[in-house]
Amino acid sequence: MIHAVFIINRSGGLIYNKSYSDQLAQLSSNEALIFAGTFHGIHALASRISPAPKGTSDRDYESIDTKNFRLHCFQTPTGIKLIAATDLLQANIAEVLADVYKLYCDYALKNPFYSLEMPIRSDMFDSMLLKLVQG
Amino acid sequence: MVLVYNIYIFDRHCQCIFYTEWNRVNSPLAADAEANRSSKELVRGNQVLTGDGASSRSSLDGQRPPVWPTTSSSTARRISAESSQNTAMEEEAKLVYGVVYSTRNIINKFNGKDSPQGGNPGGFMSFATNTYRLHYYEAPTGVKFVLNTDVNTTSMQPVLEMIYRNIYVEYVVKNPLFTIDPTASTPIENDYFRAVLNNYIREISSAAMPTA
Repeated sequence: MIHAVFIINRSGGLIYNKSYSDQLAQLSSNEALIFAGTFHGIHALASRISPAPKGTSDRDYESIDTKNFRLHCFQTPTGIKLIAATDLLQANIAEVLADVYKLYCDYALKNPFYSLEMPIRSDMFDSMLLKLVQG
Repeated sequence: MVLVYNIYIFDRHCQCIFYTEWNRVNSPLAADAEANRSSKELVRGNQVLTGDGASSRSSLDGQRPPVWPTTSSSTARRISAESSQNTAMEEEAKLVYGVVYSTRNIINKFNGKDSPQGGNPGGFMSFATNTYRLHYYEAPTGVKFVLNTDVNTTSMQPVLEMIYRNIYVEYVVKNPLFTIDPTASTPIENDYFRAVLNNYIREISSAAMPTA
């Protein structure tokens, strides 16, 4: 199951943050912003400290594993990071994140009143995402 | 098959006290040796000792892999401290520490266990990019082990715990010459530790995947 979804813009700012379960501690809005900034930094540094030769892998998402949950990140070609916190049993998360990306395109980007890089405030996006997360 | 790239050990003072590498192409150690040699050549012309350079000890099978920090690299550090320039290896160790430290802290936040004493109550185990996977293990005393492998290796927690319990504690902590200085960090310069660690990593590299 999916515990939470975060969307981070190109400069490391949090533009969407929604929690769907109480199994993870609720981050305060300040903590969520810190999380977004930190994740953005880690993501950039992780490729700089790579000991491996430049890969030809087609996987363009990354993950953090912990004892009781997993963080998945999918970076779009435009540099937006879509992050989902899931339990350890969640499968096909790459597809779910690709669906989140579709929703982002349809309900945020195509909204004439949405300005790029700014927080997403759209009831349609909220409800469609809720439907997607609950399967 | 597990492809192990390198291992870092950090002490409580955020200092890298041990580093070694196996199957690495873009090694900062080799870069440092190269830079060192060329700067020496500039200073002293032809009187250069190239035999001790890390570049001549590339990580070929059967050979001992390069390690860091060594006594000669700490003298090199003192020399470079005068020109206030960090070596590539020092820079990388700091970056790696920064990444695992920040990751551990955000994971602790998610678990609502943001302890000021540090530690790893959130259970950060590893992260994966599309080229490698970084595994993290933190001992109760605050010693941190960071191991980089290929992406498909899922869990190295038992391996890291084994390195801590049966290699680090046995060969470093139980060494009668080992002193715990609470204010400064001591690099690990123990040949037995290096040899046993090297053998162990080669063993798991050729064996089947360790079970989680």
